[in-house]
Amino acid sequence: MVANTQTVAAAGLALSQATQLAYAPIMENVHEQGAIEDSALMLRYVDGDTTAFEALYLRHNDSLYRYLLRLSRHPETAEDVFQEVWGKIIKARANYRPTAKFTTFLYRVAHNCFIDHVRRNKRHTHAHVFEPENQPDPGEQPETLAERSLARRRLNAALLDLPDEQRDVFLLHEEAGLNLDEIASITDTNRETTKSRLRYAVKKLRAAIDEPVETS
Amino acid sequence: MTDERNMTDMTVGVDETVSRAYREVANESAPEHLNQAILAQARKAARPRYARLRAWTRPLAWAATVALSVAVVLEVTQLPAPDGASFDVSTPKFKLDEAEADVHQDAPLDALEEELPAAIAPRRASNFTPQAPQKTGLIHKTAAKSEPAFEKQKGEVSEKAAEPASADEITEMQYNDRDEAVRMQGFALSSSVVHCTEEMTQEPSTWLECIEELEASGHSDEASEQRRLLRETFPEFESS
Repeated sequence: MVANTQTVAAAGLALSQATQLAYAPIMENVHEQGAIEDSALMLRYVDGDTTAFEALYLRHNDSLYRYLLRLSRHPETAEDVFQEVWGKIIKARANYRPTAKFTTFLYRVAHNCFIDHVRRNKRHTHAHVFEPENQPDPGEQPETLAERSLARRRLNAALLDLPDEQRDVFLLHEEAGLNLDEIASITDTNRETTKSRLRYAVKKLRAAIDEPVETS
Repeated sequence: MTDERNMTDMTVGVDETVSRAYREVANESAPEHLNQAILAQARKAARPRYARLRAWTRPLAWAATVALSVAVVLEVTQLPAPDGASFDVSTPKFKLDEAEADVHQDAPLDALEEELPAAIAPRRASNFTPQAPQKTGLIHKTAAKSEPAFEKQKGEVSEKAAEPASADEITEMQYNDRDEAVRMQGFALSSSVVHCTEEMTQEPSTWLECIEELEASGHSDEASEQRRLLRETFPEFESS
């Protein structure tokens, strides 16, 4: 069982390395443009610089995907909304004005797209619920592996059990790194409500992690 | 107050244990096919408009050139052979043939100008107007076409105009209209005869001027004849 797990982990590592090799030219560009702000990259893309968009996209694609995946709890919905969000960003590039952080702009579009998607179809309420498969660290001891695996499963379960509003606020805080005011503006709520939702979410997750392991 | 508020904001979402646990759990990446699709969409959208136009304008230009060339070649090869009765436009002839012996010397030019377009107009879609020779103070131009011949041609034209034209006839008319216009123009030019009136021949100087006008307008035969008559009538008059 352990050997099988190690094989899977090694395969995952090889896949990750292959992906890094595939994106090496773009990532070099990303590193070169690492100091450039998101808004500047977006403005360069508005002027026709596609490498600027690639850099911008690779900065935010994974975190945005995770936000949508856990917000919707369904990979298919997450993929649909993810593509829709970037499509809107690309189409609306001519109207982009750097009045706020690009991250705020991006996640506001994502939040609104998700709300629209939920209103358009109710698929996510009936489809298969997302259950993340965490790859274990190949160097971990079996006991540690089991404990961590259990903690992760609890955290995931607690995260998915959170009310939608609390989960949304927590994900915006963790994935987008936004502060209370920015989250409040995205979710169209006031600052105190946002603060309260975030506090409750963190409290519940902490309780799920700290729950003592039952010994049989 | 603001600092206190910011500090409170910072501590609200901060729980290192939760954040670290979440980071360990949340390690998914965006699917590769989505990355490719979105980056391709971004590149396509950023391509300048003229570049997109340039992609199909060159083949279109080639196709248009070839089509136009083929059309011109077909048009040239399928044109009907020139009618033998038609006149050469560049060198109008002013010879008087035997049929023109019966000339109407006194038919006024204005009458000809009115009749000729009226006869031609019904069959012609274009606005072609026969060019009548210029009228000068010394030369009196008259219609020389014989009355029966003119009436016959005019009658044919009117008869054809009265009939409803079929599609084939319309096409044929389009091809033949130009030839017919040239023919009618040649007819109008060749049917004009120039001569010196009796009033002009009263004085040798005016007669000579008339002769010079005839020569200048290309009526050399008539001019020679008039010059011979001038010498006979006024032998003492010396022309330069």
